Amino acid sequence: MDYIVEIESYLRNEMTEKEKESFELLVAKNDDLAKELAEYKELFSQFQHAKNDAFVKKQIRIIQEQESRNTKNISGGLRKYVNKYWRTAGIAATVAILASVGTYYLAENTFAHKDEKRILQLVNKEVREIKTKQVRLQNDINKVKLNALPNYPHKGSGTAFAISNDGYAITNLHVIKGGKKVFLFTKDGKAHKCKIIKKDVANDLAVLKLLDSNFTFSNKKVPYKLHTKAELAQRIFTLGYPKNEVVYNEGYVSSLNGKNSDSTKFQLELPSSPGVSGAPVLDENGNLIGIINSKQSISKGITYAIKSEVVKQLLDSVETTSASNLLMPSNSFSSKNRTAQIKSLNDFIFSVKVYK
Amino acid sequence: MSKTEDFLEENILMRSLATGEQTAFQMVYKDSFSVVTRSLQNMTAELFEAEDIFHSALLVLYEKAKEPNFTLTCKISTFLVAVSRKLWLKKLENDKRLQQKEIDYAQLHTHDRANELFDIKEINKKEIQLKKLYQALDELGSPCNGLIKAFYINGKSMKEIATLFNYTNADNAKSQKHKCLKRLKKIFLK
Repeated sequence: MDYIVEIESYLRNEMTEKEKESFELLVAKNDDLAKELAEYKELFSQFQHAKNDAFVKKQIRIIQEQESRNTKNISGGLRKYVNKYWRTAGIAATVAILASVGTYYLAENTFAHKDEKRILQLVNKEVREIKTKQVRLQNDINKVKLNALPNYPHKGSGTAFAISNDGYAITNLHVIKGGKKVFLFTKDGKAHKCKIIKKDVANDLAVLKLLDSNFTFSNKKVPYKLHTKAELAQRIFTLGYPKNEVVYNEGYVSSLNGKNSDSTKFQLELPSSPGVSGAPVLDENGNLIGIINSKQSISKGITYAIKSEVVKQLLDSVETTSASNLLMPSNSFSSKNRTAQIKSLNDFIFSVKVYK
Repeated sequence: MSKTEDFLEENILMRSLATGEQTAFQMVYKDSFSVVTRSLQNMTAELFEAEDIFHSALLVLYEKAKEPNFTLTCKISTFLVAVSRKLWLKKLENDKRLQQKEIDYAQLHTHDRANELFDIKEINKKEIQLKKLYQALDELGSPCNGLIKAFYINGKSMKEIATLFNYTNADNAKSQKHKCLKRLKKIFLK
């Protein structure tokens, strides 16, 4: 006889006192039932634990979402930079005017008896030159200030890679979570400040854009293209920044789903460490098939990656000034050997650091 | 002499936690999150790892709060830091990332009173069991795992589940759920 219904309502405390009594009597007489009850009791206590776990996770998520809504967006910070820049420019302009007035007096003394028009022309020329220099200087100051690193240590780090040549990149959301200032480091070690233009909390993804709108990562196009299917046992490789230098790694696709059958991810046999979160997963031909999401990893060899379908969905929803550029199918390195592939990839893979 | 009175406010907050009040969680988070994560980052943890450990420690606190006879004899943040440090050391041990100087560092900063309030072995055992449960659910496959998760973990009603999983009525869903439960028990105890 099967007692599953009774066992469940007993363990879930849904029985009346009378039912409870008679069921306990039954258990006392039936050793098999007692054993089964004990086993279900153990399972149910795990359910309770899992329930608490999910509840706490939800509470933290709610709090963190509230927090991120309360923090000011990056454009406020940018405006501050612009204000500072205008002050600098103001001083510089005053210097320029004084200098040209100086030239005027000098010119008047030297060429006291020459044509006034010619003197004016000289002054004008000089003012124009100073102005051009001034603008160039201002741009430089602006750029340095724009990309100035805070002088305190960063809070978290990871990897990002370009999705278009003109300053768009993608990474894991958890890499930049909790930070207010996000910087990309290109392979020459230069810092570039970014804004977050899209967050995908469910899939742990974030799209970044460099604040310097004139910057391009390379004079070539992004070399990889978005490929939507990962195959079981397929060989893959990846480049990421677990430390300050770029690190190469290779492995294979070991399962087409992620942890707990998560269909938005797949599983890789690939050693990973925290900093490679956000690194691209590329197949032999350099097609992008996913993004490393090492937060999910349970043991050293197993790494999870977010499927490229999910990435594509996110990119499709991003409104950009260069929407057509986002991972245009222009795979330019399928025929190259690996070392050559890595060389051309290097311009498009970055270390990300966030500051509070 | 009991120290309970010194931490009256903390224990009142614990009671609100036990009932699942969101404001209680907010207060605990505000007081403890940065203290815990910073202390773990000093012990080589990355921010996201520290956040994971904070979540585990908060789970311990929440379950302690639900125990009818539990009384806190230290500040909540002290408790969370103590649990987090132990959890992190365990993780480093498991990953073989632990170095001698880090152990010394951790031992220098023990919170004796807080450490008496929990049993790290028990917590670790629970974590392993939870992992085992999720693995068993994985093995169970769909739709069983979805059904079980929805009812026992996410607390959905059978009526909701029937609509969600396209059963004709709640009774059908219920009998299917019982079949799933039996299979899950077998896998879980394997």
